[in-house]
Amino acid sequence: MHDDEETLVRLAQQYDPQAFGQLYERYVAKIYRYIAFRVGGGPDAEDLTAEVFLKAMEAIDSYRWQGVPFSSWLLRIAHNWMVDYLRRKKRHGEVALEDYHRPPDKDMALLIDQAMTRQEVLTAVAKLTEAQQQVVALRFAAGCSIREAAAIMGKTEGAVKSLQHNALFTLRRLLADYQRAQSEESHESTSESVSGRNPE
Amino acid sequence: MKAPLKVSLDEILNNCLDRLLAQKASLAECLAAYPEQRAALEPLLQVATLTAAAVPQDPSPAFVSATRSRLLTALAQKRAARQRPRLILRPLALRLAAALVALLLVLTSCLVVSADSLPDSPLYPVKLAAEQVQIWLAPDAEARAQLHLQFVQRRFQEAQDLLQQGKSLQQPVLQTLNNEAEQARAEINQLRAEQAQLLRQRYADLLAAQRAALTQLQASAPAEMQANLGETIGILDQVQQQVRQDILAGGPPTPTPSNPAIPPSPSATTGQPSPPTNPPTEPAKPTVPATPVPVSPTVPRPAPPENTPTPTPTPVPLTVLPTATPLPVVTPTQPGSPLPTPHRVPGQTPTRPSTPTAVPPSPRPPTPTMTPTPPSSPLPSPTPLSGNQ
Repeated sequence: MHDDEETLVRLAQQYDPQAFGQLYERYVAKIYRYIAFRVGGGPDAEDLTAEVFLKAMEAIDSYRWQGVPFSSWLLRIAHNWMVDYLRRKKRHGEVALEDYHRPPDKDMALLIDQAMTRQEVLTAVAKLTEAQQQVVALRFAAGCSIREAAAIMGKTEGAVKSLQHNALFTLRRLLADYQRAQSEESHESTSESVSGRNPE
Repeated sequence: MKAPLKVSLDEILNNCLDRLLAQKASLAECLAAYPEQRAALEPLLQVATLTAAAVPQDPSPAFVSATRSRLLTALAQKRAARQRPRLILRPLALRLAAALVALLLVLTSCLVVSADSLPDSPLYPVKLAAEQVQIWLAPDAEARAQLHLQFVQRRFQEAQDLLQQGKSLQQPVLQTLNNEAEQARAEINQLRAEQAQLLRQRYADLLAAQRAALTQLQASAPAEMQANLGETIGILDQVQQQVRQDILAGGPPTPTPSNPAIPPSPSATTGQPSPPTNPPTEPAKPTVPATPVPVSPTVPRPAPPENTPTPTPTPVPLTVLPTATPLPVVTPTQPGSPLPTPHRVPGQTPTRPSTPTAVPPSPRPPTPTMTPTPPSSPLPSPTPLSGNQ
């Protein structure tokens, strides 16, 4: 059992099954969460996770230790795979600029109280820009520090912090919009049922 | 003013997120830490909490285990594949070696086949190239000279073969022949005196044998081939004459210019066959001159080949003027003479200085012409060979 990641990676590069197995055990959950957060979990997330590790195994010869965690390399592979996957599935969503700058609603606490489902949050996340989605997935799902996220995304820490801020701001608005729409639908259906009970 | 605030909020939000996600602080604790930014922070941290709660759970143990097995199987295959390149390399090396052997075989076959090729064959350039390589690879001048002699013989033989097949000799063929003969002579002339004389003698014998063969061919050749044969014999005669001169002088008196580009032979113009110097049945014997013949009273030089039966070599003082050397020629009544030369080539005209029209009698005894003579008196010769001096 090797704790030193660099040693583990070097052994894995020699196709040492124990070392590669150890790296896999160490990072499979992180990679899975990152992917599942973007694609919504299920068999697709599992398949993509397995593909990421297979791809990593194929390309491990080309990996050069540069002092950053091995998981950064895995997350980059995961990101590329996922982008391809999402492109194929045409599940990539963009947020309109005019919506992005709308002022926030006041009743965010209400949203939490109403216990939005996980899927609704993920649907809202999918409407962020690609960079915003990536930073949210890295920070919240993969548990990366801002430094690691910056390294994976190839940006400065300041840029990633700003991106993170904007992502949460937009996400909050999207969720508020969703909640408002749900409320309106609920109100309309209630009105319809009331008017149905008291016809003129 | 907005930008610094925003940067500041980015930083504060990030600090709060770090503590929230690491479960080191609650939402309330984070907001309490930044009361001034509470209004801006609270909705963002609420969304962050919501987002963190939406993160999927860890993968199922079944998936983790199955994927691990799948990965390790693939890893074992890849490990085996990494060792396979050595196995692949071996056949690759074998293939490479086989290809090299095949290439060598092809080249060798080309060389072997081209060795018998005639100037009209597509492989003939290969033959010439191979000869050139042999010349390059020759260790010294003597080896080069010997190779050139060999190649001269080849060229004449090729000419004979072509003529025997009823094919005419084109100008390039005659040119090649002429060049080869000149190169051989030039190469010999660069050797030391004894070596040079030895090889000159061999050269002369070789030329005599070729002359005999060509003459025999000429006797039976159809009329249309006579011109070609005459040209070939003309070249041969010219080279023969020059070699003989060199032998007498112990070396070329002056740097001899190349033969003019295939001078038309007198035989070619007349179509008359030249008489053979030696009968074909009696090839010339290579003879090393046993008797040194001083060329001048002060500088002894190797004498022309001696055919006298006298057991003791007797120096025969022979004065040969370097500027005007009449060539003594062995008479046809002395078979086996080292310098078998035709008396006269019919049809040769004295208008061509480079081609002797007649050859002087043999310098050897029994004629008194070989006796020492004053330097100023040239040996008797019907025609002085001014062309090569």
